[in-house]
Amino acid sequence: MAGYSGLYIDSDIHHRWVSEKDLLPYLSADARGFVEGSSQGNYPLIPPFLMVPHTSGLNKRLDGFGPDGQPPGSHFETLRHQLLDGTGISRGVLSYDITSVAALRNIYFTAEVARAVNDWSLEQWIARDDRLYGAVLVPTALPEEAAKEIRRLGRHPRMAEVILVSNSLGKPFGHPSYHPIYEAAHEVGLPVAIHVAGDGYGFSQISAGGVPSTRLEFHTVIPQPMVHHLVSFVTHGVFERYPELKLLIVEAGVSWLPWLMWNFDAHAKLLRRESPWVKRDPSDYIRDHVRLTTQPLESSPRSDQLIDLFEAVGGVEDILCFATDYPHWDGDDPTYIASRIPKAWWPKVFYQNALRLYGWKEEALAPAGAARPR
Amino acid sequence: MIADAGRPEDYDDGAVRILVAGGREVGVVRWGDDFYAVRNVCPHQAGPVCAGLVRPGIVSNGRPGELELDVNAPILACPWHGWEFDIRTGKMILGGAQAVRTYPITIEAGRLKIEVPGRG
Repeated sequence: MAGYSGLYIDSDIHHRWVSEKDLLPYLSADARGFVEGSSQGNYPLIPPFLMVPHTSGLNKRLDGFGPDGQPPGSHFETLRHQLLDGTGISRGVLSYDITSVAALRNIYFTAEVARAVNDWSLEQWIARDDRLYGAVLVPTALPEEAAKEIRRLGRHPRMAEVILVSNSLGKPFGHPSYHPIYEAAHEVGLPVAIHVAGDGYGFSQISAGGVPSTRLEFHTVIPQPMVHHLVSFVTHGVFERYPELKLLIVEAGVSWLPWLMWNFDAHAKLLRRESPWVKRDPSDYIRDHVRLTTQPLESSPRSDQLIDLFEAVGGVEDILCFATDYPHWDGDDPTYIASRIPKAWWPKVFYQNALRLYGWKEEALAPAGAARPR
Repeated sequence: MIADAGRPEDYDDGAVRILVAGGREVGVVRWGDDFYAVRNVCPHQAGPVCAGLVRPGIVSNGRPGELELDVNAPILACPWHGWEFDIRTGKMILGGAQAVRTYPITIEAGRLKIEVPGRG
């Protein structure tokens, strides 16, 4: 199969700091005390949730470490070599790795930390390479503070989206409590991304049946809350209230979408009276407002089986946005994605849908990078 | 062609050394007194499989929570996604249909020799 040689936009790149001390210059003097501390028991920027351990000890690709052992995703040159140059990414959105810093139990401190990491990301990463764009990480426990952060940075030319991870109010993200976030994103013209797994940060359930016990159990069911978040966006009328708002569902898979569109439309016809602000078929809102990242694209035994499912609802090629999820262990290489979707879909999925989502101009994109190594 | 892979005593137990043989990257693994040669391409997404972890196999008696290591069945896991292969045969541990390419490796006159197809 001839390979794809056009533009790529990567909608999910995970970057991180080497040490929490890297964030100190971006914190206020008062907040620095939490990290520096005078005792041995410093306040860690990891909340007290229990992550399911990975059998290799790390949920990253194991060749992603920096030259001095820096954790995968923390060393710019390694990321540039492996991802930007290695796969020829034209632009990519940095969406953080340790997003739990915006889910700390001290909700006022976590708002401060979210501001700090956004400034750190702009200075330490985005300023270093024209291909890198940012996401405004927001403290969802305080939607009004989140809105302030969006208004503070949302018009920065290198910010591509607002990103929600922690579901800190323990309500589906379409709930009116969260609407100040969408009002601000709508105002500054940024799409909102929801990244999978933030329901495991201790305020809500990562999965419908209870707490998973193994990584296999966890990893298989983590898309579940994302389905609920999407349904709540439509049923609470978010897209009617903010008609230009776009939503990107990140890292939740795709094959559940046909099931959801069929079921949601059928149920809406029966239950329309309770939410009359939902004026169209739910699937229409999804087609107009919602995009899904390709990663992790489901591994049907044959690629045509997955495409047949997509074709049954139609238009999925206009919904998918390519993402590598670099440097996570379940990331997708662009060559692999090219082998799993029809050739006619390549331009839309690899960059055109993302161009429209982020409001970018094609002529401003960097040309495809260095020759691909394989 | 036959490619030289150095002296057996220079290999650490359980470590993988990647070399070029017949124009392709091949990982040589020492597991106890045995040596194996595996092509450094994962059949999943073409990741550098030989940069991954080498660990003993795991055996279950079917009862949850009970497992034993099988040191006679070394497993190589790709560093990208963790797909696991039996180093002795190259076959996937679960699912079975796909495999990493393996090559015959022998010790001749104190040197490791890998037999790889063609190319010089």
